[in-house]
Amino acid sequence: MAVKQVTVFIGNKEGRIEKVTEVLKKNGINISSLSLAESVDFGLLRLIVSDPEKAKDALKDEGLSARLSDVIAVEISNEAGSLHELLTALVDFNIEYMYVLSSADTASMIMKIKDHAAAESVLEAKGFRVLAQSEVCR
Amino acid sequence: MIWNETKECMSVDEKMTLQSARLVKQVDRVYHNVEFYRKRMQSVGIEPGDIKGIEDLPKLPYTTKMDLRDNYPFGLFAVPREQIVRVHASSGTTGKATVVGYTRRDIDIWAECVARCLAGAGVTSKDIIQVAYGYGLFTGGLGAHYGAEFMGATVVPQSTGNTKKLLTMMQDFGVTAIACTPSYLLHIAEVVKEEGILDELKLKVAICGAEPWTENMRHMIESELRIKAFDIYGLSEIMGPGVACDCEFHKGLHVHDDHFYPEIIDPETLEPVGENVTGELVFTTLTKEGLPLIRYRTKDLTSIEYGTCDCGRTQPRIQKFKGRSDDMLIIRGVNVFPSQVEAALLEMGETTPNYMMIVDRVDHQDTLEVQVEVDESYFDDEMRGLDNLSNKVKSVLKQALGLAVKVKLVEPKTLPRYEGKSVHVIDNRKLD
Repeated sequence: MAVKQVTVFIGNKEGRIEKVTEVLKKNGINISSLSLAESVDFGLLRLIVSDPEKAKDALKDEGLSARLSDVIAVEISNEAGSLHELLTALVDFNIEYMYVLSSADTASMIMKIKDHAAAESVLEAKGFRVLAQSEVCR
Repeated sequence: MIWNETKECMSVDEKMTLQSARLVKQVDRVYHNVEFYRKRMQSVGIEPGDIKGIEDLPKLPYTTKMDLRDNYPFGLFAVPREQIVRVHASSGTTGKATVVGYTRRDIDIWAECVARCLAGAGVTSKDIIQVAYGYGLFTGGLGAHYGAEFMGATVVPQSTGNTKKLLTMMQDFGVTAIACTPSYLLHIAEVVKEEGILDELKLKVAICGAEPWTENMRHMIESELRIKAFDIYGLSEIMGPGVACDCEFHKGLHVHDDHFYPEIIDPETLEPVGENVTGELVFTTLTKEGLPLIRYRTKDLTSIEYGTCDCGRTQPRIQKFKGRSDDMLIIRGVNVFPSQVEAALLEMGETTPNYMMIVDRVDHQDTLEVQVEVDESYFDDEMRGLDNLSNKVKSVLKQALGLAVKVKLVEPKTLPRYEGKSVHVIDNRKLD
């Protein structure tokens, strides 16, 4: 049960992230979480949105480079030690990157793991709840 | 000092007689030995008998770098391959290099021409000279080396790359002369300053070439290193370094026109232009055996001044270069065509073919940044993929150009376009 993440390639200069949020706003697309990976000359903006397909197409129509990729969203309780428990369950997996989707009451981790399917089975076997697209953003 | 007074100070009449005799012989040779020239001459209805002297030269068709490429690698050689004792190669406009070949006599003449240049700069057989041009397919290293050896100087075949080692040897050996690109010498001057070793050096003269430079750069080199600096010009198609050189009066580069006959033409109409009019420099090799070239278009824009120089030489003098009539760039002495970048990117197939070359001069060293547009088909959601792509582009371009390149990945459709056509070069170097 993969969640679709929108990844946007952005040049490292003024106004580029604003361009992305402008396009999403115009198309009525809600963002529930994001992370920005940066290098010297460019960045990758990763977004969890309400309608990933529509977001990707809208961004591409505006001349931005966007693509979809599969990530895992896992629910964890919003209390001390819960992230550690999750990572202990995944200790044999190589996590490429992760970021958080959290409020005062609930939390979930968005994670990119090379062996996606196997990680998902391990998480479910250990009692973690893996979230569907509709549960991470509406 | 004048190395070959007979030739370098020959009267105009004598020179014309010599050039005429050599041209007649050369045209006869290429007509009979090189199919390309025979066909080219036949196509315009010219026979060797029509060329009776140097004044008939404008009757002959031009030769271009494209002709060299079309006859790659040895198609324009005028002697059997066994008589070629060396080849060199420089950048072609695309993947294929421009290949040149020399007979033993060509190598000797080349060495003598370089010796004339060195002598004009005040180098003698008592000097010890570091050759800090690249050795290898590039003509710079071996060209300067043979000339210095021919003169009887002590040659240190330093090549390029390790400035600290170069300076250690310069100090330890008591080096008195250096041959390298002017931008590299400025870099050397900076290191000398940093290390505070100027007083330990015996250097007195530099012979710089392989890239255009300005009077300002010369003054800077001369004052920073307390030496005299001289300009040397050449191109591998005609010979290599030593086709023309500076004298102590710096009134233009004296062409060794007993071997290389210069003309200036209008690059649009292809008609020869007069003295002191800027146009494209064209050379005819009068004595070359391996790869004789008739009216070869160098694409270098300049003008020629005639008349006897204050130094006594009667040779025509090439004035400061004003640029190129094609899009070739000279970066750290290496010839680079934008089309090489394009061909390499297309061949690699992992980015869009949209690119921009940004050339600059930072701390006296040329830099080349290539910006490449990437779109979503070339990256995924991980940084590593992009880093790998960037490194791969870097190594592919280094392979293709023979030059280290900084690569910057940019968003699609962000590189400037001019009427739908991409602009491929921004050269921020100031040469005025």
